[in-house]
Amino acid sequence: MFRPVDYALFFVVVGLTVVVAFLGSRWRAADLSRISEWGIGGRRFGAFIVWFLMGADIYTAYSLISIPGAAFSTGGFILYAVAYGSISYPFLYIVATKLYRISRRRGYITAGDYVRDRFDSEVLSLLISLTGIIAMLPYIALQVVGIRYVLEAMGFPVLPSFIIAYLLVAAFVAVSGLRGPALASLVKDAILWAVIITVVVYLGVKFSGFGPIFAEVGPSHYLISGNLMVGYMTLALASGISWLLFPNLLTGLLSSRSEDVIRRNSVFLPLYQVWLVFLAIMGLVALAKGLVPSKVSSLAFPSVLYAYFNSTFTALAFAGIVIGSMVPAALQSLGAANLVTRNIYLQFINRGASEPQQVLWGRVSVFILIAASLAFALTPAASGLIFYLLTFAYAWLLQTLPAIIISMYWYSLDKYSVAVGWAAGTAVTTYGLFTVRFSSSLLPWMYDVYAGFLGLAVNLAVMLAIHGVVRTSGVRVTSRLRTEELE
Amino acid sequence: MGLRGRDLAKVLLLIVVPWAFIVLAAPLYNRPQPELGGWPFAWWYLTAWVFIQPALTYVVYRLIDRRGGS
Repeated sequence: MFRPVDYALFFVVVGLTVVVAFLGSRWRAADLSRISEWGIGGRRFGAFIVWFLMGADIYTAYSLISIPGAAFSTGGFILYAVAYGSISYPFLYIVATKLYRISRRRGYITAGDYVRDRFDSEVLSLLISLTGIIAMLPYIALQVVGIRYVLEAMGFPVLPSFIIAYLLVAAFVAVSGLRGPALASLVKDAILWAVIITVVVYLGVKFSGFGPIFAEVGPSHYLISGNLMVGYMTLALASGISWLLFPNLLTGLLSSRSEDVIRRNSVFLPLYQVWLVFLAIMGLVALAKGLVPSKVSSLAFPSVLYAYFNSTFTALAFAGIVIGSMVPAALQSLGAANLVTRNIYLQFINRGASEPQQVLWGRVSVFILIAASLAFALTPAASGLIFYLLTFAYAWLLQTLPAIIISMYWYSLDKYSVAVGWAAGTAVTTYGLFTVRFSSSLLPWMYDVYAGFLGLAVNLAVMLAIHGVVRTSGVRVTSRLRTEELE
Repeated sequence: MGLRGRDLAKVLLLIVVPWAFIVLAAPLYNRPQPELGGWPFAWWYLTAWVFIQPALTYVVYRLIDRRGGS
């Protein structure tokens, strides 16, 4: 049971994070009426801040709740998360530096800005941007659902707590822009590193290096089940090439001061992957020791904390989980808000919008996106295994790979091929998720292949076919970018 | 090395090697033995790659792109 002092500690940590996020608006005094200052922090963050910022962007409530949960319920399959992170960073080293270079030269804030110029098409830009916006909703919803059990364990009323926590998130993003979550990420990651190191060292000593835990759950649980091998590989590979397509991650990357900041971070950010390994092991501990009441997988990590640590440390860790959901949600809503502002408002509603008007739209969009995600979080789809929510987002975003990544390397790629490929890929992905009633992202009717991977394969095949037609029929292809601007 | 050779080496170390050893090798590393400190092979192998890949990326950064340090 939690004592008053534990509650005090909890509120101090969460409160401190929120205050720091609001103070972000004064950090490195900038003119926040400029959209590049509000939306991507004025492209001036160095390697240190970007390390924390991207850490907060990538390692979220998903890592803290879903990974132990999935290790508890499905076992070795969760290693896919460790695997895809390890292939994501070197891939970013190549593709993120290139998109950064192009964006900096031309002043892009979003992937939609790039797509508009690259293909000279506002419609394609809108399709890609809408994909990004819609994919952010389950991702933010996952952050919301992720803290449900923590709130329950601490005896807070869930719905009012959700609303208060996420209104605060929307408020500090609106006020501070990217500087809010950037500064708050220092608090969030400092606390989570401290919590995770403490838990791992303490339990590592208690369980003799976790060897006995593996022995207790046995190979049938800790290995990837053989019939899910295709699912494992397609999910890992597809997820590992999709990070640049995430609006929230691109926002973080574009805030870097230079390409070199991104390069150095693809060397040092993978250190965070250690979290995933040990958080997965926490799920195995919960299983081996029978700690989880009524098999609710999301309770795996909270149950471990409950069982082995005193109430004060548990309150601190719970505060870490709560801010580990709020700071990422801030970045996700900001990434989506940038798309709404730049690629819907500026392109379709008010072409002559001034910078302050764009920032105002961004601020309002943040509130709308957070409200929509809260609504999404309360639907039945969200109450199941939240681990799958994120794979939906990945599956849809993956269909923008040709528009955003392939187009940087293939100069003659045209908008018709990319648009039709995107439509086919998105349709196949959505149909695939529909056949399993949105309860999984692996398709049992085709070797358990990952729906997003199947969609991407169809997407690329259709794109190549249409490109052949476009080439032979001699349709004129335009771009606002010269070849040398894509170098 | 010319530009082509450098690009090829980067694609090899940042895409081909990690995809092959971390993802495509899954059916090979998905086994309990040999253990290391009680950890099954699959688990310590992937944990080792959490450190091996950044080391390879660093090699690309210093030796191929010739950035950082002096």
